[in-house]
Amino acid sequence: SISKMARKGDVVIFLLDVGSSACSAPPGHATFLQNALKVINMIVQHRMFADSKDEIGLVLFGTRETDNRLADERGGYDHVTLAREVGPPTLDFLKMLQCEILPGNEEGDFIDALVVGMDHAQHYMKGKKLGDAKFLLFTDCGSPSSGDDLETIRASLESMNAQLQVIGPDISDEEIPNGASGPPPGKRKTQIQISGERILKRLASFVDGTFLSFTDAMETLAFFARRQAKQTSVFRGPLEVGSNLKINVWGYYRVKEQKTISFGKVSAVSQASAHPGSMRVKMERSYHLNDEDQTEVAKENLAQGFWYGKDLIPIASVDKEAMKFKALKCLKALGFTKENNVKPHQYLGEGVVAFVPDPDNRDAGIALSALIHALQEAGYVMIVKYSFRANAEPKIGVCTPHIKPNYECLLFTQLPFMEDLRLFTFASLDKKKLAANDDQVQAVDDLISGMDLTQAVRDEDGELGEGLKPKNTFNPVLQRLYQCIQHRALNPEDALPEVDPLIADCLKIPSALVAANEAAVEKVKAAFPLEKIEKKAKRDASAAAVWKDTGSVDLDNPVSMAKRVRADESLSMAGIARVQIREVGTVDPLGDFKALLGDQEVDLFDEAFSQMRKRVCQLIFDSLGDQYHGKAIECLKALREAAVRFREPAKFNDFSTELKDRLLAGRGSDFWEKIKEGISIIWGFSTWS
Amino acid sequence: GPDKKSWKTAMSSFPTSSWTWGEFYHTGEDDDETEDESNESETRSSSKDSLIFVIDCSESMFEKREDDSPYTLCLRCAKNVLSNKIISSDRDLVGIVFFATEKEKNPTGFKNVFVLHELDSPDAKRILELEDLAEGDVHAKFQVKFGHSKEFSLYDVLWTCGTMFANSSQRVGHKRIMLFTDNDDPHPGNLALQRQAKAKAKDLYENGVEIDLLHLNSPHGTFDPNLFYQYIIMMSEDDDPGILSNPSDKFDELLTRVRLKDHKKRSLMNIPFNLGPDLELGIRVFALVRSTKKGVAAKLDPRSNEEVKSRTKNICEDTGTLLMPTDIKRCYTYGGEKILFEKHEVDSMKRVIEPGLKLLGFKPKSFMKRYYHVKPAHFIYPDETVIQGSSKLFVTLLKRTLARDVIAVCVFVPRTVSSPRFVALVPQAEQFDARGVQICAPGFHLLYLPFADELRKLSYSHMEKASTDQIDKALEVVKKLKFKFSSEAFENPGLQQHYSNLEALALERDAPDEIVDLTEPDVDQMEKRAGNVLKEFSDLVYPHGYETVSVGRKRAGPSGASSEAKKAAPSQGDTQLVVATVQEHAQSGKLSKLTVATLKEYLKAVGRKGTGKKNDLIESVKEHLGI
Repeated sequence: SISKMARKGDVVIFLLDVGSSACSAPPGHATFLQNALKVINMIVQHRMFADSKDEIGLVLFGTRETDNRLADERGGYDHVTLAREVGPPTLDFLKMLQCEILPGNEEGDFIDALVVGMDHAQHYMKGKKLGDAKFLLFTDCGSPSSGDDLETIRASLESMNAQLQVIGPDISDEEIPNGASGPPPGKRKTQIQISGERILKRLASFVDGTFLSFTDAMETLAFFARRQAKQTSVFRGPLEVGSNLKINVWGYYRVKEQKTISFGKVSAVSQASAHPGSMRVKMERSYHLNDEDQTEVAKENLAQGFWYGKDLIPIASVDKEAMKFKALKCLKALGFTKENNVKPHQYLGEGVVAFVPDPDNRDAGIALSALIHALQEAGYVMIVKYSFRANAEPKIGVCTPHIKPNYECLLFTQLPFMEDLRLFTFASLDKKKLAANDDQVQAVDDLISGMDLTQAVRDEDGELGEGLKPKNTFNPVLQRLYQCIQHRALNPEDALPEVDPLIADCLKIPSALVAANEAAVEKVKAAFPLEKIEKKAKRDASAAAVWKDTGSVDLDNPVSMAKRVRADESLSMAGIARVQIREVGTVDPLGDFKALLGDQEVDLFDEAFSQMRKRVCQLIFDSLGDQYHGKAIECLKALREAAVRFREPAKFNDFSTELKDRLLAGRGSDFWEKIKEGISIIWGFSTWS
Repeated sequence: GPDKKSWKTAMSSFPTSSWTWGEFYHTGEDDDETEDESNESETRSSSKDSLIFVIDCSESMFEKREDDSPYTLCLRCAKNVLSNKIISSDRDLVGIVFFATEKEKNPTGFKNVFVLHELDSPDAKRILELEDLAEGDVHAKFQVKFGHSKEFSLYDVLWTCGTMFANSSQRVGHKRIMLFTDNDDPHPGNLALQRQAKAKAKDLYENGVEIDLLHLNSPHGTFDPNLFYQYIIMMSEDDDPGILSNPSDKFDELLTRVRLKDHKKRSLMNIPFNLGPDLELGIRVFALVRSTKKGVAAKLDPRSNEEVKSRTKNICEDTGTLLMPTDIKRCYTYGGEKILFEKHEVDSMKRVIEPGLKLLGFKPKSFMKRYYHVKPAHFIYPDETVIQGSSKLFVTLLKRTLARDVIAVCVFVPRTVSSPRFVALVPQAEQFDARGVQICAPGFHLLYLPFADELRKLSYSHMEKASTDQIDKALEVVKKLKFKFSSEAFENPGLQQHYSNLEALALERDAPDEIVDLTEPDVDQMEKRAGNVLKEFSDLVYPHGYETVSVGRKRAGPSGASSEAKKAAPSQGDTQLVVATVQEHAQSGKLSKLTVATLKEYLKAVGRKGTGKKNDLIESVKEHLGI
């Protein structure tokens, strides 16, 4: 039955070969040890991000010293070191992996290491509520192994219910394209290695373990930060059909949007101080009337209200209680409809809930099974009212039958209400001037045929198969955040690392399709005339708009904007009259600036901006006292306004940061306060860069 | 909360001046979390639409057609639009102008033009007034208040509208006139009046006013728009489906036509669609379906009932310093240590590729599974303003993907700060209904594909399968209870109740109008249609005497009293909610406000011991969350 228990953490012990063979490689190639550390690092890192409860330990073999309990008590087990006792992964452990694992240059037996690891795990887990023991053995089999007692070890592994995964040198002798993760080219396997591998494969087969080559391991592990959410039900109750038929079901999220990790805030001021303390940032909120003094109103004196059209309706707390929606928790069928009456592009909500029968109720299972099969056969879906808890506002949604060999369920997705539909009409695209000729149709057809994702990736057997299957795609930003956080954790002073090529590649056209894409794209380019309209046209329209006090520019519709501008003769006359101005002077900087921007012929934004900027600095820093400060603020406002109009917010923001730094560094903090009162940074981005 | 609102405001319309740092703080808050979602929905203070209903009040408009007189239909439509605007875009402006009236009321003093409502945001009084006009002896009421006139000039009517737009104290984005009439030849034989009206219509259009015709059949024959009105209708090419729908005289049809046009179609963004090296076309992205939420509660000063503005400041707890945005670093706790970043670094980490839509390949449509749903879809349509020629390539791509029954898989980055997602472009062909109203627009639906992490692996208990006769009986149930589903038929009861409550308060009524919950199944009707089959099905699948309302009976015990007790405690199904609530309270340091039961439930859910006094429980929770 479905596990209701919280997941227990496993114990993961890395057994790592640091012997002489593992530490040697021809110049320019990574040693086995370096590669192994990379993989271990990745595994530990991912457990840490996944908030895994797994606990981790590390046994080294091939070390110069010997440090383990068995050696002390029984003797033997030489050159095996318990480098880290099992415990939750920490940053210190990561740091240790990065700098403290030194080449051992001795020969250590991996069997010894495994026994030491098992012994430690058994001791550690005794009396604790923990999951399974997992051993990850990294060895290049460069040291001879006794191969003794394999049967005893098998018995111990089985009794512990332990898993064993062996990551060895690449099995085949072929050269690996990216030499870094394979054996150095030309390095042949020694007899010792071959016999060692044989032992390891037997060992692995005992416990259904796996034997991975490095190349495989890197690929499997590169993206394995799969954050498996716990299976928690979101609904338990009857599915009601009519007044008498009730089928007890449980609901679980089957698909749910996952937000990327979020960052907290800390105070840089505190961080920079001698004794940083908690570095916490406290947010204080105050409420103000919209009067001249911005009179503050105490929070406890505030009332609440809602807008109803143009009226703001105050709500007494009694009314608020009475206004709450009252509903019972429910899942009720409204009826059944043909599958194609429900459009996937109208799905709402952030995921899909699977409704399965109450696991303790055999009869419910049969009833639901009958319904699921009936829907499937008829090509119908069920429309339901759904309230996941009491007093939750009801939603409507669709339940689609889903039948797999080992389970059946109804998949629920939320559907829109009338209020949620936005009815837009779009101009027809069925126009003569948009009809394609044969060449054009052929070019697009080639593009479609050439970029067939069903033949995009090679599987283990070298067969081409489907690419970009959702179950094989990973959130690249999450991977990137992991990469950066770990890098910063271990190298606090460094800049952010380059984007890992593995991350960047998954956002590109699959390599198998690149050639076909390029060829087809050339054809499409030849067949379809496409012309980029220079940004300038847009700017002119916007620039003119600055002087026409219409408030918001219709960003969606520059054409209509241009039309409006043309309608206003005096406006363009003003522009023409001033066209000769090429410099922002000190006498009338505002007027000059506006004239420069208003030029209809040439795009002078950059020029105007930089001149105005110079003028502002002059007004602020070269003037004695504050007689020009008012003027400077006027100019700043004009700069900000222009930056907004020309969609160059960064320019203004950079300047204001620079200004702040200069002012605060000198004696200008009073003036900076004044600027702050009237002018802010521009918040927002243009999407078309 | 209210902060989010103002952040959205900042995104959607760049304020030009007098924007203070205080507000900036306020908007800068939560910037890490709200990135993508926030700028999706249009907000109350984004560009306002304005709309004037112009209603012909000639006598023929009062002659009853199939269900009602056209005049009544128009009033009901107008009322409906006002009510909907209150819910979806309550800052839009609406006006109503009657013409061919005996009385007059307009700024210029024209005869036969009566401005019933000046351009203003909708409010409860206006809705009531329209309701009142459309009830009882409608014609008699009209004659008393306005009276008929055979004389009128469309020129005067349009002039009045122009003045209304111009005089509006509020800045307006989009301006539209909807003209309702059943008379296809308003100025027969009077060329001067015809010419004046045409010229004025053109003049208005040049000033950014669109004029749309909502024509109704006259009692004496069908409406011929080619006779005169084709010169009055002024629509931007972009919105015009090219075909004028047939006249309608049913309320639903008229309402649909009105609802299609009563707001400006706004795109969320225009971005490049990259098909390969150096090959881009322009597209615009729309949201056709989004959850409409209740308005956010405003905070008021109780003395003036005026909305207050909130400002937030960030203070350094250690030093007490007021923090500038640049003084705040971002932090992630990793391996027990605080890892610090600058804000811009966090932004840049999220920027793994350039914004836009990038084609990766094609798949047969059948590869698209019904459960690939993580967030609501978008719709894309070509955009000629940045790359000329985009439409043609777009149309060809649309037609060929339709013909070959394939979808395009792309990576989509709506803006610089958003995370890339894989999406499927599902082509949709243009479709019209019988009356020529566009019901499916040409373009691609952009459906979000889940990542591997989002497809949860569930473990299912083994369940017995139903037998063939059980399935056949279920099939009968399905057939008996089938209907043609349409979202249009379901109003959101939560929203409707909320606004009905507000309306009652606005009008100082004693009690709000009861709303009809359309989501509640009509059980009587269902029993009438399928009662017998449902009973037979029950008998087939359930053993005799099966008690169906027994979820959790093992735990709850047999007595009625215990089911009462169960209600008081959070139910099993709410574990996720409990977890979320507790985490939220823990973050804001308010764990002590929670009940012991909730804390215990949480601890149980996360696999910790939930015993001891409340303080012990709180400590346990904190320990678990590492606080």
